[in-house]
Amino acid sequence: MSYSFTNAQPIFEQIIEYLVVEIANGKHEKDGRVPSVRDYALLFGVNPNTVQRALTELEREGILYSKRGDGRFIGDINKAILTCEKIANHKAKIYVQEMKKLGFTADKIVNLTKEVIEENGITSK
Amino acid sequence: MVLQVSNLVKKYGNTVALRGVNLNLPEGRIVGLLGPNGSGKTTLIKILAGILTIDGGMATICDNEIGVKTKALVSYLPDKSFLCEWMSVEKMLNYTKDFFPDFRLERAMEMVKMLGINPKSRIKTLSKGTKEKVSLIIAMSRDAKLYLLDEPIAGVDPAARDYVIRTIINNYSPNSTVIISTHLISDVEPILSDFVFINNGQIVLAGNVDDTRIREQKSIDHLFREVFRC
Repeated sequence: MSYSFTNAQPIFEQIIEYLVVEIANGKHEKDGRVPSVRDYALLFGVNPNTVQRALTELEREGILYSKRGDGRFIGDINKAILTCEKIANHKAKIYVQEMKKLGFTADKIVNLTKEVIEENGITSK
Repeated sequence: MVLQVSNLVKKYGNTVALRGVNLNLPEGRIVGLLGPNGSGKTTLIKILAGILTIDGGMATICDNEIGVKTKALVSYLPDKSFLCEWMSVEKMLNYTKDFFPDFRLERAMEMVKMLGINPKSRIKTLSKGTKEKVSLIIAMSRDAKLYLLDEPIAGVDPAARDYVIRTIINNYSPNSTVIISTHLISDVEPILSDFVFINNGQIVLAGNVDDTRIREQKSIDHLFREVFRC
C-alpha cells in the first residue's frame, strides 16, 4: 500500500488532511465526482467506515457535497484552501518550536529555512 | 446483532481457556481479535465456528444457537491448512461449493486467476503463501453473515499481506461482520472498525478503533503493547 498512516492521529483525520490538500492544490475540479467509499478504502487500505467518517466530515465543512444515490462531489474549494493553510500553520508552529528547542534564534531559523528551500528547489510560483 | 456471546466458558480438562467472555457485535464491522499467544483467540473462534462445544454461558449468531444452522451463516478460515492436498485448485473450489450453497464459484475462480494461479494446479504443488491465499479466497467467496479469520496473515510475506487486506476490504459488506484474529496488529489496524483485547480467557479491553485513537492519542498497536507489557 502506498499510503502510510502515522500512529498518533486517528486515520480518518489523516484521510481528511490528505483529501483537503489534494482539493486545495487543484487536483479536482469544482463539482467533479470523487471516488466512492469502497474505492478510497481500497486505495488507502483502510476500513470503509473510516473513509465514510472522513467524507462525512468534509461534507459537513462544505468541501464536499453529496447527491442522493449519485455519489459525492467537490464543493467549496476555497474552504479546502483555508483548511490547508490552517494545517500549514500548525506544521510551521511545530517546526519553529522544535528549532527553538534546539536553541536556534529567529535569524538562524529563517536562514536555515531559506537554505533548505534552495536545496530542495522549491520556487515561489 | 450478528454475534451475541455472554459468560462464555471453555475448559480443556483442568485448564480454563475462556473464563466468562462477553461480546456483542452488530453488522458491518471488521473486528480485530487481539491477544498474546494462549489468550483464547483460537478457542473463541473455534467455538463460534461450531467446532468446539461450550462448557458454560451462551453464544448466538444471528439469534441462532451455535449448530448446523450457524455453520451455514459462518465462513471460517482455520489457522491450519484445511485444503485437500491431492485436489486441483479448481476441484477444491467445486468441492467447497458442494458444502456451501452461498459459495460464489465464479468470484473465487476470478480471484484465483487474478493471482496468476493455474486452476488446474494440484494444491500440494503450491507454495505455503499461495496455499494461504487460496484458503482466504475460499473463505471470502462465501456470502456469510460472519467471517472468522484465524491468523490470516501470519504465514505470508508483506506483499501477500496487502493482498489479504485488500481482499477483506473488497469483500466488505454493511450486512456482515468479519473477525480477524492476529498478533500482527499494525498490519491490520487500518482496516479494523473495532478491536477486542483478550487475555487469559477474558476480554480486557474493547472498543471502536477511531474513537480509541482519539481518546488515547495512540494507535491500537501501541495500546496493545502497553496493556500486554511483559
